[in-house]
Amino acid sequence: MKKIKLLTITLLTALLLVGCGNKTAKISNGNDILIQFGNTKITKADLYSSMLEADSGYTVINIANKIIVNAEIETTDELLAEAQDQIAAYKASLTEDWQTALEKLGFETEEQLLEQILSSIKGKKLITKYIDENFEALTQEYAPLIARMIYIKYEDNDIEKAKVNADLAIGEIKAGVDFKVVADKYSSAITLASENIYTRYSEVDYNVLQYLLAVMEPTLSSPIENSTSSGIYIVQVTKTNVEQVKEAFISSLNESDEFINKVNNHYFTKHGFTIYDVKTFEFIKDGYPTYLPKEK
Amino acid sequence: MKEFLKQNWFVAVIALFFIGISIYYAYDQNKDNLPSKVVDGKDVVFSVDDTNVTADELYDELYKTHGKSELFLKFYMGVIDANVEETTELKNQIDSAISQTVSYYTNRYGYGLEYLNQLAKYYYGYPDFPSYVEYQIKAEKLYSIYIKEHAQEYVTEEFIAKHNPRVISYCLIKLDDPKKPTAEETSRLDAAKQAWANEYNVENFAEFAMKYSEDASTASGGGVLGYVDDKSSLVDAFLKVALSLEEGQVSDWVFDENYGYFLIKCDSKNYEDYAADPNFLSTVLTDNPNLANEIIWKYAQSANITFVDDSVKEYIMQQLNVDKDGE
Repeated sequence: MKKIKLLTITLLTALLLVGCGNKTAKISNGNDILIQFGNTKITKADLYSSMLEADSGYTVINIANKIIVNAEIETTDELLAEAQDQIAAYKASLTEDWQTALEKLGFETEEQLLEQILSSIKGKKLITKYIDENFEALTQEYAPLIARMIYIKYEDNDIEKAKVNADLAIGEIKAGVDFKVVADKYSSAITLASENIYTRYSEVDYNVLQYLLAVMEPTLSSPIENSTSSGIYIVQVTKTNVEQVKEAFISSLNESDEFINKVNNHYFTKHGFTIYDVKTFEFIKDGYPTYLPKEK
Repeated sequence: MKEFLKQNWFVAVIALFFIGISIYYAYDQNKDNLPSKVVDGKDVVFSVDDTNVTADELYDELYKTHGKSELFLKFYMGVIDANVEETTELKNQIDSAISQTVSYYTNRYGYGLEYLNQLAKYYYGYPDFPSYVEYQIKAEKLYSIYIKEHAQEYVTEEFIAKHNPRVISYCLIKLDDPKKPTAEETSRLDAAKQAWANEYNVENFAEFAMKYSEDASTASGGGVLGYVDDKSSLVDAFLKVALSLEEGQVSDWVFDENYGYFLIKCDSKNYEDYAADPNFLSTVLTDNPNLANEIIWKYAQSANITFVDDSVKEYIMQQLNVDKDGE
């Protein structure tokens, strides 16, 4: 009988454990009344809950980001001057008084605005820092190069005509005719004729991408039929040297949301961003999932 | 123990099996749970490196950007909740408005409730679209209660001269192409005209409309359209005649090239007969642009509103554009 009791207690304990965890972080004086009329009471806890809902995790990410950028990037005189310049430019463009403008932006004092602008500048510096520290690995991963292209579409399914035109175009380029002049004559997508940075993640035709990934030196391709068999690409790779493509590569990384998300995730993971409130966790998971460290 | 296990080995195996399952279940349910943290007696929301951000600190930070606007919304919703009784009829009206709008957006644009929830949240600060609709309808109800109670304050000589308010009923004989009526349509029109001339009069206009009107929305109610004034969205020929009638007067047959023939009656010009009509409410609110805000403030004051923070009170009064607190 004793053993059956023991068994029952063990089972109940195990089941009770299921109810533990996933806590909601509460404010200290949640029951304090802010507004009261009749039987209606609006408490601090009510307001906190509404503000969390309205904010949907933005402020949490903003505060965490400030802590991280301040830990990673030192506030130099140069950065401070840049932030002050931005404030001065903003002030010069105003038609209303400064305090009203600050309040409209959600700040009580100029110092708060300065802090926010500094964080923003530091955020950009942090991306640059990540690129500098990981440039070699990024170059290997992304395989950046600069190229320009001519695309000859199979008009009316006339494949032979497109092939003849492709050979003519290659011949003219080899003969020294300007690439853009040749593109104007033969290409169905003239924007491709400008030099552009391409990486492993560029959205280009699969067959073209395979060619770009295989190229080690500047060269002119043979005609490449695209993966949907609807036209031919002629690709001229103009720069493969890392130093030559560096500026365009960094610029493309800075414009890539995926890359920025990856960097943010790296630093939020590195600095041990940990959430202890289930509601906040849900907001971040829904609105800012890339900030959540890989290992919770 | 050995003897016990020997005798009850099957029970022991089953018990072990259940213990294993229970432990795994407990582990599985908890493995994704968040850790919790308390520092100096305060709940921590998140941490970065060694910096802990408590719920109190987050509250202060959130208050800077959301505090007053959220308090205003809570105040607004609270005043409405305290003064508008949620009847079954009102609830049905709200549910119907929500489902109609959601299905309209879904059918027309391909996105429904989720999109409307985002709109309600980001443009109006409501937690979701159903809450937005609920408080819009309840607010109208509150304004209606107030304006009905104070109708004589708004139905001034100036208001009457400007808007020509009245309650109207009508009977419609529909024609597909009113300029070229078919023989069957002409026959129906003649029958109605004859009946009106010989069998009916102003006293039993409602019965006439119930029998002859071909307007699906008003015929069953005796042809009652409700409140009409110079702002009403009605066809010109109809509105012109409706506004020219004296109380108890019935018009001649009015031709409209889009609908057919109308017979129009002015039921009443007495404000008590239209004080609760939403169209009257709309005209009064248009004439008095801040009246809706003043109504909210008056109801709040009548419930002895108290604010802990004077700046919140100032903010709410500023948002409502009211400059007297009545204290």
